[in-house]
Amino acid sequence: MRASVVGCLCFAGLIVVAMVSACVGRFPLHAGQVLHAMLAAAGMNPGPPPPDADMVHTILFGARLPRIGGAICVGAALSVAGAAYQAVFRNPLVSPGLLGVLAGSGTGAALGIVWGAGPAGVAGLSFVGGLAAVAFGVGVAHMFDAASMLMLVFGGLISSALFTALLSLLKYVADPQNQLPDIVFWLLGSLTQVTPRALSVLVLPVLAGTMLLSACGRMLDGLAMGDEEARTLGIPVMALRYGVIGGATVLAALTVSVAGMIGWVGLVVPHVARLLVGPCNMRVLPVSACIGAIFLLVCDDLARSLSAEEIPVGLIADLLGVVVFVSVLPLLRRGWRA
Amino acid sequence: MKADTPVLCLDHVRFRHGRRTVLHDLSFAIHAGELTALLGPNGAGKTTLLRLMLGLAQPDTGQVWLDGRPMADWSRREVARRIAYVPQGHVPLFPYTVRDIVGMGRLAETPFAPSLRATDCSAVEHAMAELAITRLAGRPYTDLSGGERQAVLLARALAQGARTLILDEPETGLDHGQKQRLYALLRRLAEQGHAVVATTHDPFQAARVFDRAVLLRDGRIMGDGPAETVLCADMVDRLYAPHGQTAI
Repeated sequence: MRASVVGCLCFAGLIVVAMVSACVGRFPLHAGQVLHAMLAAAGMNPGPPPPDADMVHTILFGARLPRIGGAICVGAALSVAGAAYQAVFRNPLVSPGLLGVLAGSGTGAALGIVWGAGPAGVAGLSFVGGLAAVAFGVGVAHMFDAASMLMLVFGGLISSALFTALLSLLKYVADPQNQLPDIVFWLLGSLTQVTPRALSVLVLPVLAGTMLLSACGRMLDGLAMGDEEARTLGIPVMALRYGVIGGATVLAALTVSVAGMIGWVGLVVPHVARLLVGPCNMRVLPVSACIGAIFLLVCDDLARSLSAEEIPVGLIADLLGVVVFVSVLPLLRRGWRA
Repeated sequence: MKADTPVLCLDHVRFRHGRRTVLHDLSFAIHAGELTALLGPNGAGKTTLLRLMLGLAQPDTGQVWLDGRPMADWSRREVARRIAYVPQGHVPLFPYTVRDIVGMGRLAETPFAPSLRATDCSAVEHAMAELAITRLAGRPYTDLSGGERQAVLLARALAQGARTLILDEPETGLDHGQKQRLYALLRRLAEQGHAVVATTHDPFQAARVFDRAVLLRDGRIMGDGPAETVLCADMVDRLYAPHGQTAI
């Protein structure tokens, strides 16, 4: 099937899953109710309002749609960041956490909770923590050999270890009655904190990041041939590598700052995208964004509806990610040479 | 077809790797329309010399000139438009198709375009036709034989549209027929005005096929001239003579 057809199908699938997600939850809504409320909000005249129109409006626009938007943004951003990292490091087993962004963001958020910084402060510190961890990892790599990918991975390992240790320290000093449960719950990953305001902050960078990284797709393909060969093809290897790492890191740090730790998405989704549209990054990156958004929407639907108490979405994503990865692994192995 | 103005010129180039001097005060020029073989035993400095000619490394002293300007003054894209490189066959991790790989030769022209322009597509198709690999266009590069992969990398270099081609042991993995076709293609490219430089480990074939041979031993030029003359039996024996006792 042509990649453009697959892309269109993925986008259509995303819209369908988003519509279903608007209906699913503790208070199930009919598709007709959702459609009526949305048309009314868009200024059209969908007919006489049903008796529970106000309640439907409150559920839909106060809670469910921002959350659906959050799931789409976070899933897309993590998947694009994962695909970009895998291309830059020429390794299909790399995830956005390789250079320490997740450990750094977690530490930043824990610091915010211990300080009592409030939701916005926690999100801000988490974002800064993620960037700081990657900057530290890259700095360590530069101390030895800036051009070596192995040193970059080594720097990431050191940074992850350092920030994981700091996170443990913060857990140790946190108040066990209030702060520690908050840190633990935050680290499990959840979309409950996604407000319309947080979503408005998230949408533009995710869109811009996905488009910019996708625009580098053909150069990332060239990078797959090895650094020196890529340079003979006219690719500014170091600028591309650090530019893409920077963009992907901002995307990953943003997701952690609004939704906590959500693993596996960045690792698994790019593989599914490659299975559908082949290895060319110009197609893999936008299709990854679509599939990642669908994946996290499904996870969030399950998190909201499996039990009376909401299950952290990070936990569902971990479990479902394992199932998906094991299912597609035999197909992926055929294409790899490792 | 040989032109007087060199396209690539090494002027008293010296290169050190740590404390070891890999290349000593090397000077020679590459001209358009010339088929040049670079020969020497393993460790003679051929790979380092290729890296300097491709602008992938900078000499410690001396200068590499490309089209009359110092190599360091050109951007990577500008160099890629002038020099194409054919490495020894390798296998990337992801299964790009042959058309994808050949299309990478157009990256210097359209690095950010979502897809190849009509002129790029035409260059890609023409390069694949030239190498007779159009039938492989949709196949994963990772599934090809060594000879087919070499042909794909050569097609990518042709698609790049550069006037200088640098090949690293291009005959590796090729059977006799493929080698003959490769040399015929290189000859045709030289006649069209390309400057072609290839490293090789086969001095007798080089004497028959190439216009010129540059012999490198211990980082110094041991001989440089018409291939048939330079690659005489005595010179080849001296070029590959062991330094002392060796295992092989």
